[in-house]
Amino acid sequence: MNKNHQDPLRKLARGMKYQSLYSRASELTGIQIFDNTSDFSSIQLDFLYWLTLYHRLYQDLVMGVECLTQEVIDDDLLCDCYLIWERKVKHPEELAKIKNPNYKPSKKTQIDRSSTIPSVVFSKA
Amino acid sequence: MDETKKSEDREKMLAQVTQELKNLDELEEMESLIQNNSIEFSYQGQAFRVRKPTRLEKLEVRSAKNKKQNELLRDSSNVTEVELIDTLLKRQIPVNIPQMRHEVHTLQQKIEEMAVRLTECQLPNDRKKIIEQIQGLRYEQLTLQLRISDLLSCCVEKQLRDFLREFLVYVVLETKSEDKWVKYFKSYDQFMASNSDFDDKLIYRAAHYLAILLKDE
Repeated sequence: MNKNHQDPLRKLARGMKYQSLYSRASELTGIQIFDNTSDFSSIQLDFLYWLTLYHRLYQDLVMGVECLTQEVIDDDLLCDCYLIWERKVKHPEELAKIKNPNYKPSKKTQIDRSSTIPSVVFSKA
Repeated sequence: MDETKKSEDREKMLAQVTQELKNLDELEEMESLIQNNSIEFSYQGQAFRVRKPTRLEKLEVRSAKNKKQNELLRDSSNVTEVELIDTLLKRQIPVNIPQMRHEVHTLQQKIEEMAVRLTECQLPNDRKKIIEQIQGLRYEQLTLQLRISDLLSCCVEKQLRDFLREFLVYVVLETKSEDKWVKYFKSYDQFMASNSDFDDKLIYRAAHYLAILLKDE
């Protein structure tokens, strides 16, 4: 497939160098991605957004999430489409909640929070 | 393998290597843009940088913005965006900006419908067709957005945005002098008086980098 132009910022964010740096930075202290640790510029904030998003997508890929492939991650257009699909098809209830705070989930997934019966039964060994 | 085929292969390989090198340059350039919250660049052998404005500089910018806004609104020949939209609608051949904005929204909905179809589609040929359709819709949407922006380019809001962009360049553009960063334009009067080709191109370049640093601010 003839790839359309890829945003270099996204390309950098999904690349191995920054993905492994991001993973290590969240596990270890003292590793930083930029020279500055505060007062980030717009492009730095955008980069952090994509870094986090691609990190999540790589984790989903390992988990074998539906419709997600390496090709999707590597292509801006396919990735944008996947994210739209995720928002519209995979998580429609979450989207409905954002749009309408009074939204009630369908009966299947409704949790009875008023019940006093514990969901786990404890017993002596 | 005949000579023509070999030559074609070599050309393909060269094009591929050139593209890969270009991508690498692009990535290096991008990496330098995100390293910190300032952007250094070289222009005609001289080092320059743009950075985020300090709190004091932000106050200076805000004060200049208010002054310019009042000045623009006092001049009766200037029109606000709302007034301009109304004028365009009442023209002999009307231009309906709200309708055009609605079309942009409709195109976005169509793009999203196609995006869902593409993600769920497994057939390579169908996928190719859907991708082409999405690219076509995106192009149409972008063209419409540019047309709207072009039609509204003379309104007060746009003039104010242009003024702010230039004023920010005056405030934060620095050059290196004896290993120290110093303001390139010593005063706003000097900035306004500058009309050399060097300064024009420098301001344009600095504004581009500044937009990257301060996109939504």
